[in-house]
This record gives sequence, C-alpha cells and structure tokens, in this order.
Amino acid sequence: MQVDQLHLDQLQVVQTPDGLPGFDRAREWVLEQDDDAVFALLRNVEQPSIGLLVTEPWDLAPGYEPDLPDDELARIGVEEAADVQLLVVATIAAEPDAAIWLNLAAPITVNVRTRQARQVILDRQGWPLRHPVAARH
Amino acid sequence: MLVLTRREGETFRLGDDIEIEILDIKPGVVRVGIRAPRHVRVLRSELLEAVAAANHEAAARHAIDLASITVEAKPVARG
Repeated sequence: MQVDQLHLDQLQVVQTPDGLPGFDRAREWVLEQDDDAVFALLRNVEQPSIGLLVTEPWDLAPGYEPDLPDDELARIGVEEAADVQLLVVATIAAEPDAAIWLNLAAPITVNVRTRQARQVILDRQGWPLRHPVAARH
Repeated sequence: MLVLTRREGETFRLGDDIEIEILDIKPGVVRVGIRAPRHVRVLRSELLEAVAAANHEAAARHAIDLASITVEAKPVARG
C-alpha cells in the first residue's frame, strides 16, 4: 500500500471505544463517502456486513438543535465545539415505502481530531427517533 | 439480581456516591429519585433498547447505491 493511501484510509477511520447501542463490541468503523452523495456508509471493520447509513442532519432536519451533554462529549476527548462532527443514522423503510427516517434522538458524535465517536442518547429533549424525510432511490 | 424491599421515603446507596430514594408509590407506578455525580449516566432502559433496535434495523438495509438517493428536507416536529 502506498503511503498516500494509508494516510487517506486513516483519516476515515472512526473508533467507538464503548461500541454503539446494539453493537456493543464494535470498536472500529470506516466512513465510506462519495463526494456528491447525501449519505455516507459507516462500515464496521470487525464485521464488514454491518453498515449504517449516516448523514449530517443540518440540511435535512431544519430546526434540529440537539443539546449534547458535556460529560458525553468528554468521553471522546472533545475539548472545544470545533472538535465535534455530528452524524445521524438513517434507516430506509421497507419496500414499497420509499421513506427514509433519521434518528434524531441519538446522534453519533465524532471527535474529528481523535476520530473517536460515541452515539449519544438525548433523553427528555423530544427529538424523534424516526424523523421522516422524503426520498427517491 | 439483588432484591430489596423499601418503603416510601426510604433510600439506599449504590457504591460510595450514588443514592436512590423511593419518592412515591402508586399502583403500577413508582417514582424514584437519584443522587449521583454528573459523570454517572442515568438512562431509561427502554430508550437504550429502542436505539439499539433502530440501529439494527438501519444496519439491515444499507446495501444500496448511495449516490442514487435524493432527499427533501423536512422541519423537525419535536415531541
């Protein structure tokens, strides 16, 4: 492998020291992204058949203003707001319904500096677990 | 599982710095107060289970062409 490729791959690695809900033992993921695509694929390294569609919520869910608890962010080493990238998990509804839901109740916070991530469950903030967005695919 | 019987207003401790108080008992419902340091996360179990189920559902249907999806934004309805 060339050095440049190795560097690129490392940039896209995301680690979850505490796993994710439902995937408690998953520790390492790779964010696969096409330049123009709305969604990226967060693929588990230990078990590559596991993948989660993710997207940044801001354009798709206007009005979304999650309050991220400091102690949750501290667990992935966040020191300032600029360290945080927020991703939300998208679920494609069963056919023939083409709806896509965004999980706004439990966003994935990524520390872009350390590449550590954690899914934060926002209790009592009222953000929906299934926010529908119209989609064509 | 350790099982304790407590009356309304009584408390118990978990470790050195967590105290649980039984605030109110009604048929079918109990209100519980928790005194714990900020770093202790308190989460209703069914919420964690709902997020885990949502993650499993999402993971079951990701094998699609990412570039083929187009979406429209929708304002969030806060519950």
